[in-house]
Amino acid sequence: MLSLLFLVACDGGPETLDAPTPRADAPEAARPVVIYSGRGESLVGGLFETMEAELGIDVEVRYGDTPELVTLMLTEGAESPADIIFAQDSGHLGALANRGMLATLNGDLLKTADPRFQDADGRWVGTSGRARVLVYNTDLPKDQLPTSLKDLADPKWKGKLGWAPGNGSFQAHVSALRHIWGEDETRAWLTAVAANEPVVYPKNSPQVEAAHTGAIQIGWVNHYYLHRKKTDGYKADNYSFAAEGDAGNVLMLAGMAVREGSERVPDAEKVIAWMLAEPAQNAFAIENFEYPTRPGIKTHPDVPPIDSLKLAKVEQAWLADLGPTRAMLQDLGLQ
Amino acid sequence: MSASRLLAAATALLVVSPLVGLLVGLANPPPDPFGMPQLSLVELMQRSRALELLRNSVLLSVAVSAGAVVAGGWLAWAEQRLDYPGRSVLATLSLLPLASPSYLVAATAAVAFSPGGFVGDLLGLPRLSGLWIAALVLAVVCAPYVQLLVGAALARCPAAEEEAARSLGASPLQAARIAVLPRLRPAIALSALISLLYAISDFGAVAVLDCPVLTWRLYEAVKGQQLPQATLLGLAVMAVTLPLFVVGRLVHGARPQRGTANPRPPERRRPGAAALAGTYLLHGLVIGIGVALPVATMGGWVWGGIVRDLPFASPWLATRDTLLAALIGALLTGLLAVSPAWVAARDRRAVAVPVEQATLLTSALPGVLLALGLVLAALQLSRSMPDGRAVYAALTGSGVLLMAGYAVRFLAEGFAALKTAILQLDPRQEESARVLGASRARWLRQIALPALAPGVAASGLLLFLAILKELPVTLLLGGAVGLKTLAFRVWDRYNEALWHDAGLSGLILLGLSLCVVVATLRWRRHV
Repeated sequence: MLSLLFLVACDGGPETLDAPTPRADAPEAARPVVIYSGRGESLVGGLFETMEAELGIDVEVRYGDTPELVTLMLTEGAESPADIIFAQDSGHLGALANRGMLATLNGDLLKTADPRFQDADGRWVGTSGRARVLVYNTDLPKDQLPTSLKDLADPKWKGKLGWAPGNGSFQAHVSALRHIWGEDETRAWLTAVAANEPVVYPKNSPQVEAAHTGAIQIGWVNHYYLHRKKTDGYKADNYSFAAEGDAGNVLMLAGMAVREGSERVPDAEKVIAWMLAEPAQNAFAIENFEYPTRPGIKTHPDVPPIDSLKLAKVEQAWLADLGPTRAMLQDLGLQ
Repeated sequence: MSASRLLAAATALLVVSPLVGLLVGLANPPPDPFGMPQLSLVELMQRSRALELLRNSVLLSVAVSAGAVVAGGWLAWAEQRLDYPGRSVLATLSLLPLASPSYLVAATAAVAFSPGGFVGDLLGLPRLSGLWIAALVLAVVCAPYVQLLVGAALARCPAAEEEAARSLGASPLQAARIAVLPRLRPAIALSALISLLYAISDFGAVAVLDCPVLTWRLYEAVKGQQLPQATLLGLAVMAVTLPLFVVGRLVHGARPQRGTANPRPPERRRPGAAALAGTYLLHGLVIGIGVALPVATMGGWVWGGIVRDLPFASPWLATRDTLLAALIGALLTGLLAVSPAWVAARDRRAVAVPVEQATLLTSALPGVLLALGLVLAALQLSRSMPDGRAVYAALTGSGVLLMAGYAVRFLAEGFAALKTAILQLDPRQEESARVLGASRARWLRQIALPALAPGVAASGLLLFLAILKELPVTLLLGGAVGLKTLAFRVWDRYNEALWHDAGLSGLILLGLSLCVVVATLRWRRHV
């Protein structure tokens, strides 16, 4: 334990981006930078390989579900081998930050990403985003679609909706709603939508297929699954609310952070910087159909540009406020 | 005998270590990362409607167990005792759901049976969900366990006893009850118990089918970084399981069964029309839901990917990792299961009961909680050592923790098959061998081991297949070893809606299992 404290005390401090890599005689220098990745291998595995070749930094990526990896990291505490956590949902980065598990990132690094899409205290930075949208069956005329997220509570949608209350993005979005609308209004809205008996899905992606087959008319999802699926004649499409700042128009972030106490801070920050640089940001946009967080990078031509989304004003801390959201969902019997 | 007890005690210690880790974690709960107050057990029970979930869990697992025993038991009987066209092929195919991960079966069944799916549209079904569908899917997945274990016991039932009963005027049914059932009781009880544990610890199928049971809430608690609450719910799961063990003992019978060496199997009978129709229906149900539907669905995904010219990831490394993990894991877990199985089958009851219960205790816990429990136990251990961080890194990086995870998760499965085999050793042969001056080692080598071979094969097969499709333990503990298995691929690609790539890995996984099952069955027949 003492030696551990010593290690942390010696190597833990944040350093600048161009600081030399650790001394060659340091025993830790040989080991790879360990990344706990809640983002799937199919999304980021290729990027990590390219990055290793370009930066000359060895990384060891351990994939898993974001919530489980965060639980693992919280359990391991100071003994955690993780240097970087790459989370699918920024809310979980907030949870780690709240527990003092994340180091403050280099200011120059943070400047490369849109200030809206990072932690206010600089402990994590968003690497790409997914828009919350409705996915609908295209037999439904577009002018009959709800004009606001609130309209999903309309009884005319009874038996036609799908949602995934166990999903991370769903819960983060409801957390945002609690701050935008207030607790009571959110609770009332959830109750009313639940009264419409939406089909409950374990995750987002099956809703897209269900909208295509007509099993549901409208699902509440993230935007990018559709683009993976879409072919000529595909009978589902995405829909964002037309009203400026509608509470339904929210961007969910995937993000990266460095573990407080990591002995590989400079290399870890180089890895994050690489993910925020143009090539990686272009890959997120073009190959994954996501929204880049670096300003000036174009989205995929099939994906509406970020400025057309009319996003609601959301503080990142709201998305991490998951505890009361889970309590509310449990109280309402939705979870 | 003391050596086997010592080994059994060491194994039991390993099995309960994640529990100890979790309990220590429960004693010093970390603050909630979302700043929520820590709930007491009572509050937690109320908030999560734990009693309702508990009732559902018990209902589900009892239904699964009963369904699996009836279906698997009948199929075992049909395989061993009946003569009908296609028997051998159908019996083998009916074992294949062993290879299908429950979440995959549930996912494909849910799609096929719901509106828009081909079965759902054909029969005009409403959207299915809830306990009974989960019970059907899990019973289909568990039935092969029963077929395998009961089948092995049936194969070792001597015809002489049945014929004696018949010659004394018993009807075929009476003869089966008097002469066969007592010999099958250990196998039935243990396979029922395995199905029960499988159903109560499964969360994949219940998650896909939106079925409110205890493990589902427990998983949510892990996802919500509320490990203390997950531990409490885990303890509740185990509390439910303990009385089931007692029931298992009662069904099992008070005394170890006496086996017979080189049993002569009875003649196969031709079943009547109703029995034949029922047998084919059961085969169809198990093969259809458990294998054909997942294969057809995944084949469709792969075909869709080929048509749309989507890129597929090379599956070779994942296949190699899968085989490595399953081979080493099955070998180690099988070895670990030997001493407790020996003690439980042959030692005095006073020792046998706690050994058996310790062995089975943690199998009711879902993999994700066991893995975190092992992490906690490893952390406790390494923090008590001088260079704790290095010790912890060594434990995780060397794969020790991963293999411990497989052992803890699946020991019950290896144990059950081994114990039934050991129970069926013929004590008269042992006595004869000793009287004739053979050493214990020689008896073991020349008599016991050959007789145990089918049981060992069954045990190894079950373990290999279990690890082949395992996911949560591999995800949490296998990352440190750099392991990326086919099950990981399926999960990773399915999560990202890359169905074509998920389908390819899933089909290879099923193909591998098919080879294993067929090879082992052939080998079993030659013994």
